[in-house]
Amino acid sequence: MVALETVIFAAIAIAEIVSALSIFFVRNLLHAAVALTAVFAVTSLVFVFLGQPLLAIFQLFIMVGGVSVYLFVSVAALSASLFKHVRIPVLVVMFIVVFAVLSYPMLSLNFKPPASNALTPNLIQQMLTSGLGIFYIIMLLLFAATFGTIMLVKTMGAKR
Amino acid sequence: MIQLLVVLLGMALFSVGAAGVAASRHFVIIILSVEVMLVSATIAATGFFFYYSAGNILLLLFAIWGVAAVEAIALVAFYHFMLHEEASMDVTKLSKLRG
Repeated sequence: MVALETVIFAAIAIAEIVSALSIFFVRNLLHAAVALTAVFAVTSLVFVFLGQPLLAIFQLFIMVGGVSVYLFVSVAALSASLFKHVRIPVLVVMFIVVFAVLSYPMLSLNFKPPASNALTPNLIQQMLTSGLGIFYIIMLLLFAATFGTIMLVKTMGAKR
Repeated sequence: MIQLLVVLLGMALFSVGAAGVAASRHFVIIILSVEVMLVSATIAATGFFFYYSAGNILLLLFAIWGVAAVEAIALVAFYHFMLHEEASMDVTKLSKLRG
């Protein structure tokens, strides 16, 4: 008898993989961006399933509300059609090979009993304050990327 | 059983992303494939945190989300630059690094 949670997780996993695969089979950039947004949204469902609603909210805010909207506005809004860009046999073979190489060692492992760790308020505070340097590095990365974008756009404007 | 499925989902998503990078020739789709690989990393990390180790998951996830956001910004910059330069989005036709 298959447990109900296994069935629910299988449905979520299938939705996630189908969304990810559909990125390569649509004919429009807008549709590819929609498929990627579906991947982000279903990932937040996985986080809810794993008992981490805080991570699900972060996922929705950052990836769906931030990254996806940014991609929609600036890339997908142009609705450029895609040329025939995917070699489907290569896609299938690569997927099978990479998945086999990654998952085969996992199947032979003996997993210890699950721990059900959860993010408590104290743990969140401890995690966020113990590695402030990471946040500064992320801020520097974002600043550098944004600054580079502005410089590129200014270069384009100067050429006009 | 379910913990193995979570890890396998992360690996399957990573495989989809890696296969997409290898099989696609479109610049934007390749970047979207890398985004899928980053999502798979968050799923695998959260699965390992929930079931096995109570390490510092938040810093790792924020780092992954930060990289994903930077990648989206870089994608938009290069996309508009390539449109402006009338460069092909087919990466196999991009042969010049400069000029």
